[in-house]
Amino acid sequence: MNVLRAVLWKDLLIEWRSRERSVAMLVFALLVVVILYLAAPPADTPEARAALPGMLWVAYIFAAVLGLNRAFALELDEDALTGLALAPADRGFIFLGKTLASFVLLLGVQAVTALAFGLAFGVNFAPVALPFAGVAALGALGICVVGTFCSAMAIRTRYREAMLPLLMLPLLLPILLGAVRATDALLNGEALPGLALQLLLVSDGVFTIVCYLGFDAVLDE
Amino acid sequence: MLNVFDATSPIARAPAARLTSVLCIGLFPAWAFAVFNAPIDSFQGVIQKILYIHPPLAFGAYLGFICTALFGALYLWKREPRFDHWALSAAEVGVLLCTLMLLTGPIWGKGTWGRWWTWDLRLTLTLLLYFVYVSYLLLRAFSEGSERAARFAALYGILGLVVVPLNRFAIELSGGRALHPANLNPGDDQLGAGMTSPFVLGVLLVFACFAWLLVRRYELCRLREAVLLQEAESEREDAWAT
Amino acid sequence: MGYLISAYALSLIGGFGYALWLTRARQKLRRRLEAASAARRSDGGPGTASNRASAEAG
Repeated sequence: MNVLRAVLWKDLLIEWRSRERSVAMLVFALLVVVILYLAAPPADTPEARAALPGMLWVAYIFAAVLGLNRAFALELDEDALTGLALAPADRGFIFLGKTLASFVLLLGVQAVTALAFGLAFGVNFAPVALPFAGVAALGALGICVVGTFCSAMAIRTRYREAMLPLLMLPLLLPILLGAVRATDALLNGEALPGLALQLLLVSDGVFTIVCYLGFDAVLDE
Repeated sequence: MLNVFDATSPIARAPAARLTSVLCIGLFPAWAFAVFNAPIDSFQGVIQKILYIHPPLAFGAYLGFICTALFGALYLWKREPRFDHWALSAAEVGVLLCTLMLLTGPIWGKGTWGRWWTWDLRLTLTLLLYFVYVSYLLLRAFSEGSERAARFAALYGILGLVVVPLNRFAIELSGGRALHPANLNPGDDQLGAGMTSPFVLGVLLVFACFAWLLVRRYELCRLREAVLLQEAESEREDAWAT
Repeated sequence: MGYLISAYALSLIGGFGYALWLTRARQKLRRRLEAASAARRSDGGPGTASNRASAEAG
């Protein structure tokens, strides 16, 4: 548990000092929103409104890919990854620490992006702010769990940055579908759909357990 | 004891390679004959005969992906390179069968539904599984160091199978309509008279082909290993001699 | 009928194409293996008299 806190604190401190990852993620997410706005200007037809939750999550996932690519790049300098692997600690907790650090960053980026998205597309998040934050957090958790796990592998391959989305996107469908369904229901003023929430929770749980157990084999001996 | 899978030298053929090729050669004419003689479906017409190749290919592909995950798990447990070779071979043959299945499926769809593709539950699920294992092969191709590649691939292969039930739930939730014909169990009367034997033969043939290709691919892995070893040795001797 | 034949043809071409690719890869690797072992033989290998003499001289 101490390892988890130490890794989390270390990552957040480094990020606080440089603010590189969060700024890159945020600017990228905002750019995606602008491009989506220009490519598909908001119309007041039901079809156009039905596509909005999906577009929002596309912006989120793009930002997440960008940020997660850097999650382990930090550790590659001066071979810190080997140091982490050699630490006399449960590697699962190292994984959870890294995941939570990315999670915190992604949450911040999601909040600002949602504001910009709401302004651009005329979506009012204010009445559903709290349940939406919950859905966004559940989605972000799943994205960060799978993303951190795949990032630790992708960093050791030849095409680091290109490999991460190839690895994580095929696995993320349950998370994204659940999150998009739930967001859709919220924006239509409906109650949170139980099944979508269940899907998000179960997927988050399964991915967390499997990645926690598997991370031991990701780091070199 | 005679080793069925690993021949004594990397150039020699293992007994399993001979056995599976004999199986394939024996089953192929029987299957072709049965397909040719199978009755023509009164409702769908002749296009229904795709049943004798498309579902067997699907079973073969799933078998490949299950083998990939199983051998991956075995590798993580025992850390013996041969399990990794089996996993890689199973993934590659599985992706091949899945590609053929995804090619033959739309042909039937076009002939019967009038469109190449629908976002039906089973189609979507299989497509996603296909992407996972294509990514698996890419991960292997781009990983540095065979030991590391083996570890990563084993983990990813297992994760790919874990995600199947989640995907299933997700696609059901998003209202993927079940257009695809239901599972056909030989013995049910869903299959018309005279259609069971070519179908069963088709499944057996695809499984035999899967085993044959798997063993051949595995032999290739062993041969590559032997070549790399030999080349490294002769290089070392060169360096020592000069 | 055309659809059906193309489906069967595709499957056969795919299967045999892959098998052919495996055979070619095997042949290439065998040639490499032979070349490597031939190189070793012509060097004389670590155990031969000429090699040992040159090693002692060097």
